[in-house]
Formats: sequence, C-alpha cells, structure tokens
Amino acid sequence: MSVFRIFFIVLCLSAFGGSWYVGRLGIGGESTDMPSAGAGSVRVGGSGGYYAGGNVK
Amino acid sequence: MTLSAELRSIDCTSCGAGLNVLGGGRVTTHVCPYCGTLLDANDDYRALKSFGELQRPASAFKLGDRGRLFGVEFTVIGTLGYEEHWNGEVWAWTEHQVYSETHGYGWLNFENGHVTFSRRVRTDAWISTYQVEHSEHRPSASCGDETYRYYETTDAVISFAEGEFTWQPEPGQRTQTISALGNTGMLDFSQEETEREIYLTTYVPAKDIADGFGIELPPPLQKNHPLKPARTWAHRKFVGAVSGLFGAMLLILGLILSLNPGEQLVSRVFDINADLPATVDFEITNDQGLVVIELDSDVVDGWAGIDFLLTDPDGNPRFEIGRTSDYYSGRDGDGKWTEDGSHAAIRFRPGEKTGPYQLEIDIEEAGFWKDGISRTLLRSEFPEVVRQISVSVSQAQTSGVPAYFAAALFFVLSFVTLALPAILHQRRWAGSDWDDED
Repeated sequence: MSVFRIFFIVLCLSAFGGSWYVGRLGIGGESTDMPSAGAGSVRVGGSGGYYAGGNVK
Repeated sequence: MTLSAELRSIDCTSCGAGLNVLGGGRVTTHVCPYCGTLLDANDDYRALKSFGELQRPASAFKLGDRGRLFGVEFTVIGTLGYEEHWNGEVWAWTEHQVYSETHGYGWLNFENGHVTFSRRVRTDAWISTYQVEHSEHRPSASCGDETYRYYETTDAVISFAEGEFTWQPEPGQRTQTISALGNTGMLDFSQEETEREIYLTTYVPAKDIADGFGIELPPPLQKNHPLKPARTWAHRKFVGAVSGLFGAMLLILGLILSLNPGEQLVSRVFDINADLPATVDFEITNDQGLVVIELDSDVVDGWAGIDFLLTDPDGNPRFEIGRTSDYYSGRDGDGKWTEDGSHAAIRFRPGEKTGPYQLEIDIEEAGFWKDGISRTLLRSEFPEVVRQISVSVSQAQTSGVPAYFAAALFFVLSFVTLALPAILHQRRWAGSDWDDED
C-alpha cells in the first residue's frame, strides 16, 4: 500500500476520532444564540429568541 | 516540374523576394509571404494570382521552424488562417503544414494556445453530412481499435495563406469538415471534388512543443480542449471508496451522538398561574458534554414567551435567554393542519463550572394570532392559550454536529472523485454541436 493511501486512511481515522471526541464535549451543539461563558457574558433582557420565528435550537 | 533535391530557395516571380523552399516533392503551391502571390510550384513558380497583404493570424509557429514530434523531425512549411462565423461569433485558428523528409506531410494546428497534430489516414471510416443531418442518434465511425462519435461540423473560410502547400489553398476558399471524437484522437472528414480526405488529429502537450521545437506556448485562452488528455489519478477510486465509507461511518456516529439523551437532572411541570415565576435548583456534575434545558407547553392556538435566567455556582448570572412555545391548528381546503412549535431547548456547555446551578423561569408574554389578528394577552389572560409548561434539565449530552460536518466533507470528496470521469467526459463533449433533441 502506498504512502499516500496509508496517510489518507490515517486522515480518515483522525477525522472519525476527532468528531467523536469533539462531539462528546458537546462542541458544535450549543444554541446559536448562547452567549459565551464567563463574567459579563450574560445578556440582559428576555426578548432573545422570542421573535426569531419560534424555536431556536 | 519536380523540384531537385538541391533547390533550397527561389525568387518570387512577382516581387523578387527570396523564398526558402522547405517542402518536399509533393509541394504544388507556394504563397509568397511578402506580396501574397500564389505561385505554381509545378510550373517554374509562375504567378497565378495575388491576394495582397492579409492579416497574419496568431500562432506560436512561423515558416521554417524545425522541431521533433513523436521522434520525427518536422519543418513548418506553410501557414493557413481559418475563420468560422456562426450566429455572430467568430472562431479563428491557424494550421501549419509541416514536412518531414522521412514521414512526409502533416499539420500542426494552433488554436487558443492549444496545439494539435493532424496526419492523413487511409480508412474506410466515414461520416457524411447526410448522416449528421438525418441521424436520430449521434453518428459514429470505427478506425483501428477506436470508435469515433460525431463531435461537430466546421464550415470554415481560409483567411490567410503563406508558404508551401501540397494543394492549392486560396483565401476566401470555403471548407466543410465533419469531426468525430474518440478516446485519444479526432477524425476529420472532408469531401473534396474527387476524393475523400480523412485526417487523424491528436493533442500535443505544451511540454512536447517546448522540448521538440524550443517554443514556449502562451497560456491557453480556454483551459479545456476536447483532445486534451484528462489527468488520471491512481488513487481516485481508493479515495472515493474510502471517503464514502468514512462518510457513512461519520453519519452513523453523528446519529449516535445526537440521539444520546444524556443524564436527566431535573424535570418539573409548572402551572402558569400558580407556579410562575419559579426557581429550579440542580447540580451539574459532569463538565463534559452539553447541558440541555428543554421546554414544553400545552399552548393551543397561541404562543408563550418564556424567560430563563441561569445562575452559576459562583452566584453569577450565566445567561438570560428567552424561548417561544407556540402551537396553531386549523382547517383549510386541504383538510386539517397544525403547526407545532411547542417544544424548545437551550443548549450550552458548562465548561469547568460544575456545582449547583439555579434556573429562574417566568412567562413574559403570551398571545394568539388568529384570522389575521395578533393579540398580546394580559397576564391574567395567559391561561386562555397556555396553562402548563414543563421544564427538564439534562447534562452530558453529546453533539453530532462535528460528525455530520465531517461526513458531509467526506461525501463531497467521495462524490467528486467517483464522479470525476463523468464530469471530465461532459466537459470534453461540451463543445459538440450535436443535440439529441434536434
């Protein structure tokens, strides 16, 4: 098997493992209107999401 | 008259300019590059007619250029400019008659930076104008081991001539050529007065021209040419198959991660009037994965805006955010219909902040939208559209988004690599004038 094919399989396995690892951390699944964590990240006012056409993920 | 082997130059019998004689014994015509006079090479270069000065067409080659192609030395002996006019568009190209002392005559064709080589072949293969005009399917012809399928009909006019030729070209002369494309070459059929002429044309890569003639071709104006060999990739099928396999595996992984319910921490039902505003306490123990706050309501034909304020273990507000829960139903000409948006969710990652959290919940607004009328209700009227909401919190949910994203990339890669031959085939035939619907 050529070096490229081995490299490509390693790349595919890395993508699979990376997707599993990152998915377990919940990365990419946050609500799109979620403020990031940390002091000062709170959004004051409750209208966020109300008028965006219903459910926000 | 047959040219003697020693004859290497003559003087134009019209203007007196010295002309190199480059072609072999089958040259019949010499067009003076200086005065445009057509000379009869078989009759002491007698002047037959004069075309005057004509616009020299663009080409990488000039008379007298020598070079090796296919291991054979050729000399450029003649230049013809061609034009084809159709529907207001003009296609122009240049054809050079070339001569080899050992292999005879051929043509180097220059069009939009691409070079092809044509040589006459003896074959029974033929596609006639009648076939092209009356066949329901694309006409084809076989030559050697290859099948050639109709590509285009070219009605061209000679716009320029200079140098030596084995026939008598004249500016303004019209030619019709039917071309058929095979895997490696193109057959060009043309009917002369007394005989059929068939030429086989193949692509000459720019590197071969540079190596053989020492001429660097300009970058092609159009990247594609029907005769240009498609690049092949030894790993194409492997990459396509493996990408498809991993795309499917990533899709399944994404589904598994998306459907993981996580660990439920709390689930409560609140009566709008009696319980709200309410506070829910829960403890996040897992700092990995998503914390999901899910909202459901019994809202009917209206909407309710619910506000959530989450306070972290340090007593700081993590976020304040709103969600709408709505549900509509009705009946129209197609029967009953419903629009159910009563479920909503908030997803966030707690990061390293595990510990006790506090969620404050209240209903901010409620109303209905019916028959084109929208109305926001007073708080005492909220039960007209919503009586209860349920809120649950879970932790350690996983996300399938990265897997779906990777799966999409792998599927695209798989499709592109596996469909590449079809894409290249379509691109190769894109210039054909055949239309199955005609």
